[in-house]
Amino acid sequence: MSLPELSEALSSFATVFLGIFVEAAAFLMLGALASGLIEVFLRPNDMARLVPRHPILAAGIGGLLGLVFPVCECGVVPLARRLVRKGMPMSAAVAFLLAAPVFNPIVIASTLAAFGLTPVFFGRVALSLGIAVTTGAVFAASKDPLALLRIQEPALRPTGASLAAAFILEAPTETALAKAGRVLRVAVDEFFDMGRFLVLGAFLAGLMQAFIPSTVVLAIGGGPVTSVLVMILLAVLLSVCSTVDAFIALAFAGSFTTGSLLAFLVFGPMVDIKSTLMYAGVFKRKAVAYLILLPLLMTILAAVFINLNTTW
Amino acid sequence: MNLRLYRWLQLGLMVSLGAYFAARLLSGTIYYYINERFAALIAAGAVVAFGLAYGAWAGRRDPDVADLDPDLPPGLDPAETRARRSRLWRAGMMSVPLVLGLGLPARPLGAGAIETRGLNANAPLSASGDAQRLEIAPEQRSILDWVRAVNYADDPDAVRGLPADVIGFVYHDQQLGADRFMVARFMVTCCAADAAAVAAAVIWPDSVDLVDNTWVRVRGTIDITEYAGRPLPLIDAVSVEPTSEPEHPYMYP
Repeated sequence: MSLPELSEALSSFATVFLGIFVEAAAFLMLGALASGLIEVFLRPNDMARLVPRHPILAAGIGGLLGLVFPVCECGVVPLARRLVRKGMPMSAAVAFLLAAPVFNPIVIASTLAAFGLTPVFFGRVALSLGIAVTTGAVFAASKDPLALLRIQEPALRPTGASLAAAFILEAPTETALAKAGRVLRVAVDEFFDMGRFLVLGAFLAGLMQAFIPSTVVLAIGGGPVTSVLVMILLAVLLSVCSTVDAFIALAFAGSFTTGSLLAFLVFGPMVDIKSTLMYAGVFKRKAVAYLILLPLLMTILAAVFINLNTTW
Repeated sequence: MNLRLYRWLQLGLMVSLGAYFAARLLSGTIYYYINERFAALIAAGAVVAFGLAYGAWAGRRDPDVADLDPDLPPGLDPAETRARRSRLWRAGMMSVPLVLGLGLPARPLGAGAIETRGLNANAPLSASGDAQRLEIAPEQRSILDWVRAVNYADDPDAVRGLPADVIGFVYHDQQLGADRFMVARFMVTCCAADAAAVAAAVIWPDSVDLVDNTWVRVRGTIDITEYAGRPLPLIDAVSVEPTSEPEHPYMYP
């Protein structure tokens, strides 16, 4: 590569990188703000009251709760743990854990912004909800759901009287200004925590677009099965926040199959490097394996089926 | 990195990010990166960025990990070491967009990007949601309109001989002869990541004198050629004049 060519490629890289970052950062900031509001104003027992006790029904409701609580895959793990310990059925919590990173207003809006009313948009929403609720229903079979959690302090059992005080997040004397400050403080920390993965993802996407000829990418992205596996691997490795991953996926639209884009957008928010680490901190090993393998198998099956049987 | 320094860095980076968004919007160079319909989102992002900067300022007196366990001397507390490393990694990563955004001149995608991405000879008709675009008067058609016309019109041959008047940047494709060049534009649906190039080939004897990425206005008559197995508009030019870069360098399908 000659010097002028390298200069052109670097310029293209910077434009693509900043294009992804600028647009996705705006969405991420809004998501971080929502997360701050939840942290400061929500008490988990407010949510637990909304969920039916029947495990299968609970899984269905749990899958929809993201509409009310727009959290990405990082915010959802601690929240789901709090909810289980407050008495929410495990099936609902697992469905919420897996669906909320996609089935929430912010991610629906960002996916719509990136892909419009296309099969990718509808497929992402429907598959995420379906896989999350199905996995939640499988967890309903557990006889002692709390045994799936890694830490089992007696004080954190649902009936623990001390728990109510432990989860009240608002200090009663806190002024409105202090609360606003706390919302923004949580939000800025969340933005920095998630933003680094966005920067990494945008950086890799920019490098790929600027330096790898599309013919090479097309050779990998065209296979109905290989494209799905490659995009799943990419989703896990990039660990991009679900708030913004639609913009990353858009960079691959046109080169990769529709099924593989859906696999990236459905599996990525459920399982990636950072969420696996968080799962391992909350659930026992066997439960973590179920949380990874069930969505993985269902995603691969759905994505390959779409590639082989539709013209999307 | 201790928490106090981290908070000040957060404050500085968020103020810089808000200012960067605002400056790009005011200068119009934000359209090098995104589709125009997201300008309001970026404006909202700038406001929220300043809000988050306030959040960092509000947390400047938060207790540090080291303060929670003062018995352990600095450097020997594993939690403190982890927290310090993590802050350094976060602040470092979040400074990358600003370093690139402020350190490199803002430029739209150009001929170099076509080299790796290739041309999109198959311009999406459905993305416009408006088949009527094929009915636009010939002189008002953009490169994208011509690409659609030669691909999707009921009778593509009917475009032969129509007058063309288009603006785009110069791109020399090695598959074309020495007396030809491409006049190209990128179309962007969302942001530069999904940019796809559309182009018309131009017959112009002085083609070799034109430098890649120069913006030109091409007038002539339309014909159809083939490129990568797809029909491509071909303009037999009567004039090729340098022109200034459009306010929106990308087209929005």
